[in-house]
Amino acid sequence: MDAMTQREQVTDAAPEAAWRGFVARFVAIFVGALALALALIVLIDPYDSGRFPSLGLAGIADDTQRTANVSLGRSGKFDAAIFGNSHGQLLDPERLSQATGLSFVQLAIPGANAPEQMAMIHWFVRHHARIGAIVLAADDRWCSADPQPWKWFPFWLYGDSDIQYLRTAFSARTLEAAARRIKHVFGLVHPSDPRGYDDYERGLPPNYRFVPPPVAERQDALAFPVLLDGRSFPAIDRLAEQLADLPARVPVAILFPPRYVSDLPVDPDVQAVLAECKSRLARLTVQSPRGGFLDYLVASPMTRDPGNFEDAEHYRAPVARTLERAIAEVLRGQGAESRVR
Amino acid sequence: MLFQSQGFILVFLPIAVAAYYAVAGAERARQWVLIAASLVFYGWWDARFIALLVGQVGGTWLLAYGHKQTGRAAFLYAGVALNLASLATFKYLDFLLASAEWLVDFALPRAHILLPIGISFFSFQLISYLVDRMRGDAPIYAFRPFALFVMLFPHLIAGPIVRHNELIPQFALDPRRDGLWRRLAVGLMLFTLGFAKKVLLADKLAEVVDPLFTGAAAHPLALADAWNAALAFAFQLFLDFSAYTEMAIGIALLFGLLLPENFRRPYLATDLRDFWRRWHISLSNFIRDYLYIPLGGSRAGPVRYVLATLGSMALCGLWHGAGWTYVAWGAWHGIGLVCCRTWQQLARPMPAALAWLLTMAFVLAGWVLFRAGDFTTAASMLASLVGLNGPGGEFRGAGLIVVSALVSALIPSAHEIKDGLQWPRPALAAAAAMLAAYCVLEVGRGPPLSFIYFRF
Repeated sequence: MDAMTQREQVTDAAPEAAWRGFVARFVAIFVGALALALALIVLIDPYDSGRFPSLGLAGIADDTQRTANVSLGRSGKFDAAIFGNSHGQLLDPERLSQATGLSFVQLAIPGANAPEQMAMIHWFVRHHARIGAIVLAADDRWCSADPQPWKWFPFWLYGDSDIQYLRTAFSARTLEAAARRIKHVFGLVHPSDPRGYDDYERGLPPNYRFVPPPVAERQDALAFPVLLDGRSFPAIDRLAEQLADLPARVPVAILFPPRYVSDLPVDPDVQAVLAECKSRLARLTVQSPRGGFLDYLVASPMTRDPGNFEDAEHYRAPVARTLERAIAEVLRGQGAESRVR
Repeated sequence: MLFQSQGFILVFLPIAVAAYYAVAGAERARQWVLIAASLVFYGWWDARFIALLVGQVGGTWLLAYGHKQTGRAAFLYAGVALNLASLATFKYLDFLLASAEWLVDFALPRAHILLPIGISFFSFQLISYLVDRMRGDAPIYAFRPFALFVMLFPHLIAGPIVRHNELIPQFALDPRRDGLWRRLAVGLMLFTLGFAKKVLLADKLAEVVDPLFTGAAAHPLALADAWNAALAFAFQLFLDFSAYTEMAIGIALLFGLLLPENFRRPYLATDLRDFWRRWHISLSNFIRDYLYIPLGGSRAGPVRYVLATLGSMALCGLWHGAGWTYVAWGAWHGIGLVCCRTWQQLARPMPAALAWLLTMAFVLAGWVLFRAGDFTTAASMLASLVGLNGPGGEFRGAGLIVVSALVSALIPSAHEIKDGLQWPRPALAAAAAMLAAYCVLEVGRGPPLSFIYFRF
């Protein structure tokens, strides 16, 4: 026997039975702790996914739309939803509900690309047998020839596979979310906004005014100009498939929110692709009885006034109110045709 | 499949252990179980590379067998050439092309071959076997144990580099022999220790290190940022690699096998020779036995000694990565080892504290070269470390670095733990199990980070 195996033969003071007990204890506690964690994740249902029988705790306390939307998106309290990213975030679901008679939830996720917004739409549709309206605040991300999913978006929370959900949920992060939900039950943390509304103007100084960049520094700020090839819009194709599965009576409103004029494309090729992209999105709303397409991403008095913007791509509250009124008109059937503002 | 992934810990390893002990009484069957598990483990990254692994192992064994049958050394040289050619193709081809391009000053095409994980480790083990046969130190083994010696999944990807005579005789031992439960207990403890070091320290240090080195490639770092990057990386590298080693030794013990030691608290070294006796010991031994001594070692005059040291350390650097910064890092340590030996021959020992400080400063400067993507970044970082790029900066993760330093200095080596764990305290089992369970949940936060040495 060589030196390596000889070194194994160390003097062992403890009897074999004691070591067996050590191993048994280790395995039992290890397995028991993980089983307990799994049971807590299932029973507390930290994100209110409704996938498994649970304790049925009420409400969530989650400030991150990426995860808070799991609960909001499947809630039976709503029959209409706003999708998008920060470009649709300031649309107030409460005001839209009052103006339309529907019950809106805000499901926009700041930073979301088209694949994440599609996942949200899919989740909402999956959990609602009756849908009053779908509002999509689109942007140039829908026009990309190669729409890339956001690396950190939790697709597993919104997917169809319960096994995938459980596999990914098995983590310390989910247990932290479970603890937060327990704290919420005892009133120790602020609950999430009941309609998912997150006003990004909150905390803005009262005298805040957007200062547009000097002309020399302006760029073609659209998100994926290099990926616009003008021929294919795969994200729109997938959206079309999703909307085709809805009953024909479901109203669909799609809008391009405004950006400050410095953000509008100046390259004629990009302008042409954007126009084609808008046209493709507008066509999706045609078959909808009370749907419409609203295009505010054009040079206009609204987009030329820096007072309408917090920064070049995020409009302020008065603009949001204008958009809400236009959306409500469309959904009430007072403007089913595509409109450019 | 990574050792710290939930899939490995909760599915693969329990199945492999259960299957192994189900056939523990039959030597051949349990070896096949380990070979099958190792192929699944390796194929999990990229099934295409299974053919390369099996081909290299099979080819080497056939050539060694040819040598046995004919007595012609050409078979063994062909085997060494086969393994070096595989390494040159899969790991160094683009590096060689880039270097040649620099010499000839016109553009050469690139192969863009995906690096097969662990190729440096298993190629070196195969070469060491062939060289040992040339020396008359290695018998011909049956193919099954020979293949298992190379493929055994605990050491396949990142070592420890094992010699055939350290491992193959162990395959004949019944894993249920005396000491079974103690081996299992120690295996679980070592695995948990490495798991916690990787997940709770090394991966957290990566969050400090990566942005700083990325930033250093774009602009010079301020003094505090440079020290932050260098110290955090020094501990990240050690904790990451030693964690892997502890997990590997722990897993092997679950199968009744003992892998060699790889680290003995290297940051306590008080001279550079001492450092290399503590750092990546299995590689140091390999370099010593198969490069340094054949190149002349220290017994063929001072000139041969210097050349042997510089040459073997430069090759050691190149083994780590296909880049000149790695060669320079190896040469840096070669120069340091020559200086260290020269000083020691003067017989004027310096105070231990000063010796430790000098050694660590030297090692730290080397790590900057090792981690930086190019010489420009390395030079900028080194300049920042001595304040040439201005004061200021922000030292992030100080608490984490202090804890990492304490863990690096205080936790004994894997074999010392194995030998020192003499009494099975129930509280220790409970604490370790809770720690392991916590780490399983912690690693679930996102995709597990690969071990640094997997890229070598």
